Amino acid sequence: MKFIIAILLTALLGYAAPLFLPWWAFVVTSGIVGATIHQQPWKAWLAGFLGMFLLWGVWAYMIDSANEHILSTRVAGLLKLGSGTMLVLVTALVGGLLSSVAALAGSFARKSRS
Amino acid sequence: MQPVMHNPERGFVSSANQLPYNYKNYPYYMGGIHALERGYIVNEMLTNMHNITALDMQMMQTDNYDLHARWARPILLKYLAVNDLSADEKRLVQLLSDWNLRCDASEEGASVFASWWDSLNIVLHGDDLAQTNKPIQQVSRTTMLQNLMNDSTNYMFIDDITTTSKVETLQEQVMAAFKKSAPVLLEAAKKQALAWGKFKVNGVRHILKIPSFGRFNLNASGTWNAINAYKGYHGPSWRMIVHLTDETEAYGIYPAGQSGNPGSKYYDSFVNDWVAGKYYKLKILTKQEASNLKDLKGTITISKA
Repeated sequence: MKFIIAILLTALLGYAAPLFLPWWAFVVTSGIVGATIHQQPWKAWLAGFLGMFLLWGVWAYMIDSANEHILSTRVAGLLKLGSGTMLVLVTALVGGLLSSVAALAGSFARKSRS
Repeated sequence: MQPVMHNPERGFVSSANQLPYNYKNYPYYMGGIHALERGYIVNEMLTNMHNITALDMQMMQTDNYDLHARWARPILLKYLAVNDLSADEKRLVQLLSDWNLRCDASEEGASVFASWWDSLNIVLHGDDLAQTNKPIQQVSRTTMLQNLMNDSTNYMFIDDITTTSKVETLQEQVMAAFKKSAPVLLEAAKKQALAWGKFKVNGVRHILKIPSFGRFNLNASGTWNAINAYKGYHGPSWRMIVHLTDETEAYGIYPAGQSGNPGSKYYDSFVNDWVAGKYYKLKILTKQEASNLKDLKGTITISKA
Protein backbone atom coordinates (compact mmCIF):
# COMPACT_ATOMS: atom_id res chain seq x y z
CA MET A 1 0.00 0.00 0.00
CA LYS A 2 2.80 2.37 0.97
CA PHE A 3 4.45 1.53 -2.33
CA ILE A 4 1.39 2.49 -4.38
CA ILE A 5 0.91 5.70 -2.39
CA ALA A 6 4.59 6.57 -2.95
CA ILE A 7 4.16 6.10 -6.70
CA LEU A 8 1.02 8.21 -6.83
CA LEU A 9 2.47 10.95 -4.65
CA THR A 10 5.67 11.07 -6.74
CA ALA A 11 3.61 11.45 -9.90
CA LEU A 12 1.23 14.01 -8.43
CA LEU A 13 3.96 16.23 -6.97
CA GLY A 14 6.10 15.66 -10.06
CA TYR A 15 3.25 17.07 -12.10
CA ALA A 16 2.27 19.92 -9.77
CA ALA A 17 5.65 21.26 -8.65
CA PRO A 18 7.01 22.21 -12.14
CA LEU A 19 3.80 24.17 -12.79
CA PHE A 20 5.06 26.81 -10.32
CA LEU A 21 8.77 26.02 -10.02
CA PRO A 22 11.54 25.22 -12.52
CA TRP A 23 11.09 21.99 -14.53
CA TRP A 24 13.58 20.09 -12.34
CA ALA A 25 11.55 20.73 -9.17
CA PHE A 26 10.18 17.17 -9.43
CA VAL A 27 13.61 15.90 -8.36
CA VAL A 28 13.19 17.69 -5.02
CA THR A 29 9.62 16.45 -4.50
CA SER A 30 10.63 12.86 -5.32
CA GLY A 31 13.39 13.18 -2.73
CA ILE A 32 10.89 14.39 -0.15
CA VAL A 33 8.52 11.51 -0.95
CA GLY A 34 11.43 9.07 -0.60
CA ALA A 35 12.26 10.52 2.81
CA THR A 36 8.74 10.83 4.24
CA ILE A 37 7.25 7.50 3.15
CA HIS A 38 9.18 4.93 5.06
CA GLN A 39 10.09 1.85 2.97
CA GLN A 40 13.11 -0.24 2.10
CA PRO A 41 15.59 1.69 -0.08
CA TRP A 42 15.06 -0.45 -3.19
CA LYS A 43 11.30 0.02 -2.90
CA ALA A 44 11.72 3.77 -2.53
CA TRP A 45 13.97 3.74 -5.58
CA LEU A 46 11.44 1.76 -7.64
CA ALA A 47 8.49 3.90 -6.53
CA GLY A 48 10.41 7.03 -7.45
CA PHE A 49 11.25 5.58 -10.82
CA LEU A 50 7.77 4.31 -11.70
CA GLY A 51 6.02 7.48 -10.55
CA MET A 52 7.92 9.76 -12.90
CA PHE A 53 8.34 7.16 -15.66
CA LEU A 54 4.58 6.73 -15.89
CA LEU A 55 3.85 10.44 -15.53
CA TRP A 56 6.27 11.59 -18.22
CA GLY A 57 5.55 8.61 -20.43
CA VAL A 58 1.79 9.19 -20.46
CA TRP A 59 2.17 12.97 -20.62
CA ALA A 60 4.64 12.84 -23.52
CA TYR A 61 2.45 10.29 -25.29
CA MET A 62 -0.58 12.56 -24.97
CA ILE A 63 1.30 15.59 -26.31
CA ASP A 64 2.75 13.46 -29.11
CA SER A 65 -0.66 12.07 -30.11
CA ALA A 66 -2.18 15.54 -30.20
CA ASN A 67 0.67 16.51 -32.58
CA GLU A 68 0.05 13.42 -34.76
CA HIS A 69 3.67 12.35 -34.06
CA ILE A 70 5.03 15.02 -36.44
CA LEU A 71 7.59 16.55 -34.08
CA SER A 72 8.57 13.33 -32.31
CA THR A 73 9.29 11.62 -35.64
CA ARG A 74 11.55 14.47 -36.77
CA VAL A 75 13.38 14.75 -33.46
CA ALA A 76 13.75 10.96 -33.24
CA GLY A 77 15.42 11.15 -36.66
CA LEU A 78 17.68 13.92 -35.42
CA LEU A 79 18.73 11.88 -32.34
CA LYS A 80 18.87 8.65 -34.41
CA LEU A 81 16.31 6.91 -32.17
CA GLY A 82 14.38 5.23 -34.96
CA SER A 83 10.81 6.20 -34.13
CA GLY A 84 8.75 8.75 -32.25
CA THR A 85 7.63 6.07 -29.78
CA MET A 86 11.27 5.55 -28.81
CA LEU A 87 11.56 9.29 -28.10
CA VAL A 88 8.55 9.09 -25.76
CA LEU A 89 10.17 6.11 -23.98
CA VAL A 90 13.51 7.90 -23.64
CA THR A 91 11.68 10.95 -22.25
CA ALA A 92 9.98 8.74 -19.65
CA LEU A 93 13.27 7.01 -18.83
CA VAL A 94 15.09 10.30 -18.17
CA GLY A 95 12.30 11.46 -15.83
CA GLY A 96 12.22 8.06 -14.12
CA LEU A 97 15.99 7.92 -13.56
CA LEU A 98 16.25 11.43 -12.12
CA SER A 99 13.31 10.83 -9.82
CA SER A 100 14.47 7.36 -8.71
CA VAL A 101 17.92 8.56 -7.69
CA ALA A 102 16.35 11.44 -5.71
CA ALA A 103 13.96 9.03 -3.97
CA LEU A 104 16.82 6.70 -3.09
CA ALA A 105 18.79 9.61 -1.66
CA GLY A 106 15.73 10.67 0.38
CA SER A 107 15.31 7.15 1.71
CA PHE A 108 18.98 6.89 2.73
CA ALA A 109 18.88 10.33 4.35
CA ARG A 110 16.03 9.25 6.60
CA LYS A 111 17.77 5.97 7.42
CA SER A 112 21.00 7.63 8.49
CA ARG A 113 19.11 10.11 10.70
CA SER A 114 17.11 7.49 12.56
CA MET B 1 28.19 46.55 -68.73
CA GLN B 2 24.76 45.43 -67.62
CA PRO B 3 22.38 43.94 -70.15
CA VAL B 4 19.74 46.55 -70.93
CA MET B 5 16.49 46.20 -72.81
CA HIS B 6 13.67 48.68 -73.22
CA ASN B 7 10.38 47.90 -74.96
CA PRO B 8 11.96 45.41 -77.36
CA GLU B 9 10.28 44.76 -80.68
CA ARG B 10 9.84 41.06 -79.93
CA GLY B 11 7.36 42.11 -77.23
CA PHE B 12 8.89 40.57 -74.12
CA VAL B 13 11.86 40.78 -71.78
CA SER B 14 13.27 37.59 -70.34
CA SER B 15 15.99 36.45 -68.00
CA ALA B 16 16.71 32.89 -66.92
CA ASN B 17 20.09 32.61 -65.15
CA GLN B 18 21.82 32.65 -68.49
CA LEU B 19 25.27 34.19 -69.11
CA PRO B 20 24.90 37.68 -67.64
CA TYR B 21 27.44 39.38 -69.87
CA ASN B 22 28.90 39.42 -73.35
CA TYR B 23 32.39 37.99 -73.90
CA LYS B 24 33.21 40.79 -76.33
CA ASN B 25 32.39 43.64 -73.93
CA TYR B 26 33.57 41.92 -70.80
CA PRO B 27 36.43 39.49 -71.49
CA TYR B 28 37.07 38.44 -67.85
CA TYR B 29 36.46 35.06 -66.28
CA MET B 30 33.45 35.20 -63.96
CA GLY B 31 33.12 31.58 -62.89
CA GLY B 32 29.91 29.72 -62.34
CA ILE B 33 27.92 27.63 -64.76
CA HIS B 34 25.22 29.41 -66.70
CA ALA B 35 22.75 27.14 -68.42
CA LEU B 36 22.29 28.90 -71.75
CA GLU B 37 19.64 26.38 -72.70
CA ARG B 38 17.04 27.74 -70.31
CA GLY B 39 17.13 31.29 -71.64
CA TYR B 40 17.01 29.88 -75.16
CA ILE B 41 13.91 27.78 -74.57
CA VAL B 42 12.20 30.59 -72.63
CA ASN B 43 12.65 32.92 -75.61
CA GLU B 44 11.59 30.21 -78.04
CA MET B 45 8.39 29.60 -76.12
CA LEU B 46 7.55 33.26 -75.49
CA THR B 47 8.02 34.03 -79.19
CA ASN B 48 5.34 31.47 -80.04
CA MET B 49 2.87 32.42 -77.29
CA HIS B 50 0.22 35.07 -77.82
CA ASN B 51 -2.50 36.51 -75.55
CA ILE B 52 -1.33 34.26 -72.77
CA THR B 53 -2.98 33.87 -69.37
CA ALA B 54 -1.57 33.17 -65.94
CA LEU B 55 -2.35 29.50 -66.54
CA ASP B 56 -0.15 29.49 -69.65
CA MET B 57 2.65 30.97 -67.57
CA GLN B 58 2.18 28.23 -64.98
CA MET B 59 2.50 25.61 -67.70
CA MET B 60 5.61 27.35 -68.98
CA GLN B 61 7.32 27.72 -65.58
CA THR B 62 6.86 24.03 -64.87
CA ASP B 63 7.88 22.93 -68.36
CA ASN B 64 10.35 20.04 -68.51
CA TYR B 65 11.56 20.23 -72.10
CA ASP B 66 15.26 19.28 -72.26
CA LEU B 67 16.75 21.49 -74.94
CA HIS B 68 20.25 20.26 -74.17
CA ALA B 69 19.16 16.72 -75.05
CA ARG B 70 17.61 17.94 -78.30
CA TRP B 71 21.13 18.90 -79.41
CA ALA B 72 23.09 16.16 -77.63
CA ARG B 73 21.02 13.06 -78.40
CA PRO B 74 21.92 12.96 -82.11
CA ILE B 75 25.62 12.87 -81.19
CA LEU B 76 25.16 9.83 -78.95
CA LEU B 77 23.01 7.97 -81.47
CA LYS B 78 25.23 8.87 -84.42
CA TYR B 79 28.47 7.51 -82.97
CA LEU B 80 27.06 4.38 -81.33
CA ALA B 81 27.60 1.03 -83.04
CA VAL B 82 24.14 -0.37 -82.27
CA ASN B 83 24.81 -3.76 -83.85
CA ASP B 84 27.43 -4.61 -81.24
CA LEU B 85 24.91 -4.39 -78.41
CA SER B 86 22.93 -7.06 -76.58
CA ALA B 87 19.13 -7.21 -76.78
CA ASP B 88 18.72 -5.52 -73.39
CA GLU B 89 21.10 -2.78 -74.35
CA LYS B 90 19.34 -2.24 -77.67
CA ARG B 91 16.13 -1.72 -75.74
CA LEU B 92 17.79 1.10 -73.80
CA VAL B 93 18.90 2.75 -77.03
CA GLN B 94 15.35 2.38 -78.33
CA LEU B 95 14.03 4.12 -75.21
CA LEU B 96 16.37 7.01 -75.89
CA SER B 97 15.54 7.38 -79.58
CA ASP B 98 11.79 7.18 -78.84
CA TRP B 99 12.05 9.73 -76.03
CA ASN B 100 9.99 12.92 -76.45
CA LEU B 101 12.79 15.05 -74.91
CA ARG B 102 10.64 15.93 -71.90
CA CYS B 103 12.03 15.29 -68.43
CA ASP B 104 8.66 14.35 -66.95
CA ALA B 105 8.72 12.02 -63.95
CA SER B 106 7.40 9.10 -66.02
CA GLU B 107 9.90 9.30 -68.90
CA GLU B 108 12.46 6.48 -69.08
CA GLY B 109 14.37 7.90 -72.04
CA ALA B 110 15.39 10.87 -69.90
CA SER B 111 17.21 8.53 -67.51
CA VAL B 112 19.05 6.81 -70.36
CA PHE B 113 20.14 10.14 -71.80
CA ALA B 114 21.30 11.70 -68.52
CA SER B 115 23.24 8.64 -67.42
CA TRP B 116 24.89 8.07 -70.79
CA TRP B 117 25.78 11.71 -71.41
CA ASP B 118 27.30 12.14 -67.94
CA SER B 119 29.28 8.92 -68.42
CA LEU B 120 30.61 10.29 -71.70
CA ASN B 121 31.77 13.40 -69.84
CA ILE B 122 33.78 11.20 -67.46
CA VAL B 123 35.12 8.98 -70.25
CA LEU B 124 36.26 11.98 -72.31
CA HIS B 125 37.59 14.27 -69.59
CA GLY B 126 38.17 12.08 -66.53
CA ASP B 127 41.60 10.91 -67.69
CA ASP B 128 42.73 14.45 -68.54
CA LEU B 129 41.46 16.02 -65.31
CA ALA B 130 43.09 13.25 -63.26
CA GLN B 131 46.50 14.69 -64.16
CA THR B 132 46.17 17.27 -61.43
CA ASN B 133 45.34 16.72 -57.79
CA LYS B 134 44.21 20.32 -57.39
CA PRO B 135 40.49 20.97 -57.05
CA ILE B 136 39.19 21.50 -60.55
CA GLN B 137 35.78 22.15 -62.02
CA GLN B 138 34.20 19.44 -64.15
CA VAL B 139 33.76 20.29 -67.82
CA SER B 140 30.19 21.54 -68.02
CA ARG B 141 27.70 19.60 -70.12
CA THR B 142 27.13 22.64 -72.29
CA THR B 143 30.86 23.06 -72.97
CA MET B 144 31.19 19.38 -73.88
CA LEU B 145 28.20 19.63 -76.19
CA GLN B 146 29.56 22.74 -77.87
CA ASN B 147 32.98 21.14 -78.40
CA LEU B 148 31.53 17.93 -79.80
CA MET B 149 29.24 19.88 -82.13
CA ASN B 150 32.08 22.08 -83.40
CA ASP B 151 35.01 19.65 -83.52
CA SER B 152 33.15 16.32 -83.54
CA THR B 153 35.73 13.56 -84.03
CA ASN B 154 38.67 15.97 -83.84
CA TYR B 155 37.89 17.05 -80.28
CA MET B 156 41.26 17.05 -78.51
CA PHE B 157 40.12 15.33 -75.30
CA ILE B 158 38.63 12.24 -76.93
CA ASP B 159 41.76 10.13 -76.54
CA ASP B 160 42.21 8.30 -73.26
CA ILE B 161 45.72 9.41 -72.27
CA THR B 162 46.19 6.48 -69.90
CA THR B 163 46.39 4.08 -72.87
CA THR B 164 49.63 5.32 -74.44
CA SER B 165 49.77 2.74 -77.21
CA LYS B 166 46.37 3.58 -78.63
CA VAL B 167 44.41 6.65 -79.77
CA GLU B 168 40.70 6.20 -79.03
CA THR B 169 38.05 7.38 -81.46
CA LEU B 170 34.80 9.10 -80.55
CA GLN B 171 32.92 5.92 -81.60
CA GLU B 172 34.90 3.88 -79.07
CA GLN B 173 34.39 6.44 -76.33
CA VAL B 174 30.64 6.73 -76.93
CA MET B 175 30.48 2.93 -76.66
CA ALA B 176 32.63 2.94 -73.52
CA ALA B 177 30.32 5.51 -71.94
CA PHE B 178 27.28 3.46 -72.89
CA LYS B 179 28.82 0.28 -71.43
CA LYS B 180 29.48 2.24 -68.24
CA SER B 181 25.90 3.37 -67.77
CA ALA B 182 24.00 0.39 -69.23
CA PRO B 183 24.39 -1.86 -66.13
CA VAL B 184 23.13 0.95 -63.88
CA LEU B 185 20.15 1.56 -66.17
CA LEU B 186 19.29 -2.13 -66.52
CA GLU B 187 19.51 -2.57 -62.75
CA ALA B 188 17.14 0.38 -62.31
CA ALA B 189 14.78 -1.10 -64.91
CA LYS B 190 14.72 -4.36 -62.98
CA LYS B 191 13.67 -2.47 -59.84
CA GLN B 192 10.98 -0.51 -61.74
CA ALA B 193 13.00 2.63 -61.05
CA LEU B 194 14.05 3.65 -64.55
CA ALA B 195 11.38 6.35 -64.82
CA TRP B 196 13.07 9.75 -64.52
CA GLY B 197 11.21 10.77 -61.35
CA LYS B 198 12.59 7.75 -59.55
CA PHE B 199 15.95 7.55 -61.31
CA LYS B 200 17.19 11.02 -60.47
CA VAL B 201 17.75 12.20 -56.92
CA ASN B 202 14.89 14.43 -55.75
CA GLY B 203 14.86 16.00 -52.34
CA VAL B 204 14.16 19.13 -50.39
CA ARG B 205 16.74 19.48 -47.65
CA HIS B 206 16.70 21.31 -44.35
CA ILE B 207 19.27 24.10 -44.27
CA LEU B 208 21.38 22.08 -41.78
CA LYS B 209 20.95 18.93 -43.91
CA ILE B 210 19.21 17.09 -41.05
CA PRO B 211 17.60 14.16 -42.89
CA SER B 212 14.43 13.90 -40.81
CA PHE B 213 13.74 17.63 -41.27
CA GLY B 214 13.75 17.37 -45.07
CA ARG B 215 11.76 15.49 -47.70
CA PHE B 216 13.28 12.87 -49.96
CA ASN B 217 12.47 10.41 -52.75
CA LEU B 218 9.98 12.80 -54.31
CA ASN B 219 8.71 11.52 -57.65
CA ALA B 220 9.47 14.78 -59.43
CA SER B 221 9.95 16.03 -62.97
CA GLY B 222 12.53 18.51 -64.24
CA THR B 223 16.17 18.68 -65.17
CA TRP B 224 19.08 21.10 -64.83
CA ASN B 225 18.56 22.95 -68.12
CA ALA B 226 14.76 22.77 -68.35
CA ILE B 227 12.67 25.73 -67.22
CA ASN B 228 11.64 23.52 -64.30
CA ALA B 229 15.29 23.16 -63.29
CA TYR B 230 14.73 20.69 -60.47
CA LYS B 231 17.40 18.06 -59.98
CA GLY B 232 19.03 16.72 -56.86
CA TYR B 233 18.56 19.26 -54.12
CA HIS B 234 18.42 22.28 -56.40
CA GLY B 235 15.49 23.72 -58.22
CA PRO B 236 13.30 26.73 -58.88
CA SER B 237 12.04 27.13 -55.32
CA TRP B 238 9.99 30.28 -55.54
CA ARG B 239 7.64 30.18 -58.48
CA MET B 240 5.65 33.36 -58.95
CA ILE B 241 3.41 34.84 -61.61
CA VAL B 242 2.09 38.37 -61.30
CA HIS B 243 -0.47 39.81 -63.66
CA LEU B 244 0.26 43.53 -63.97
CA THR B 245 -3.33 44.70 -63.60
CA ASP B 246 -4.62 47.43 -61.27
CA GLU B 247 -6.00 44.83 -58.93
CA THR B 248 -3.12 42.46 -58.17
CA GLU B 249 -3.61 38.95 -59.49
CA ALA B 250 -0.68 36.81 -58.43
CA TYR B 251 0.19 33.15 -58.01
CA GLY B 252 3.08 31.59 -56.17
CA ILE B 253 4.42 28.55 -54.34
CA TYR B 254 7.63 27.29 -52.76
CA PRO B 255 8.70 23.83 -51.57
CA ALA B 256 8.29 24.22 -47.82
CA GLY B 257 5.41 25.55 -45.75
CA GLN B 258 4.17 28.62 -43.93
CA SER B 259 5.43 27.47 -40.53
CA GLY B 260 9.08 27.26 -39.48
CA ASN B 261 8.11 25.00 -36.60
CA PRO B 262 9.16 21.41 -37.36
CA GLY B 263 6.30 20.21 -35.17
CA SER B 264 3.70 21.87 -37.36
CA LYS B 265 1.79 20.20 -40.17
CA TYR B 266 2.29 23.46 -42.07
CA TYR B 267 6.07 22.94 -41.92
CA ASP B 268 6.28 21.15 -45.28
CA SER B 269 2.69 21.29 -46.48
CA PHE B 270 3.51 22.92 -49.86
CA VAL B 271 6.09 20.35 -50.95
CA ASN B 272 3.72 17.94 -52.70
CA ASP B 273 1.89 20.72 -54.52
CA TRP B 274 5.21 22.26 -55.57
CA VAL B 275 6.38 18.92 -56.97
CA ALA B 276 3.06 18.55 -58.82
CA GLY B 277 3.49 22.00 -60.35
CA LYS B 278 0.50 23.57 -58.61
CA TYR B 279 0.22 27.23 -57.63
CA TYR B 280 -1.59 29.08 -54.88
CA LYS B 281 -3.36 32.35 -55.45
CA LEU B 282 -1.50 35.01 -53.50
CA LYS B 283 -3.94 37.16 -51.60
CA ILE B 284 -3.30 40.87 -51.50
CA LEU B 285 -6.20 42.11 -49.41
CA THR B 286 -7.62 45.49 -48.61
CA LYS B 287 -8.66 46.05 -44.99
CA GLN B 288 -12.30 45.59 -45.90
CA GLU B 289 -11.69 42.37 -47.82
CA ALA B 290 -9.66 40.99 -44.93
CA SER B 291 -12.50 41.58 -42.45
CA ASN B 292 -14.98 39.75 -44.72
CA LEU B 293 -12.71 36.79 -45.45
CA LYS B 294 -14.43 33.43 -44.90
CA ASP B 295 -11.52 30.96 -44.98
CA LEU B 296 -9.32 32.80 -42.50
CA LYS B 297 -7.17 30.36 -40.48
CA GLY B 298 -6.37 32.81 -37.68
CA THR B 299 -5.34 36.36 -36.93
CA ILE B 300 -2.16 37.82 -35.49
CA THR B 301 -2.51 41.09 -33.65
CA ILE B 302 0.66 43.12 -33.40
CA SER B 303 0.93 45.74 -30.68
CA LYS B 304 3.63 47.85 -29.04
CA ALA B 305 5.40 46.07 -26.21
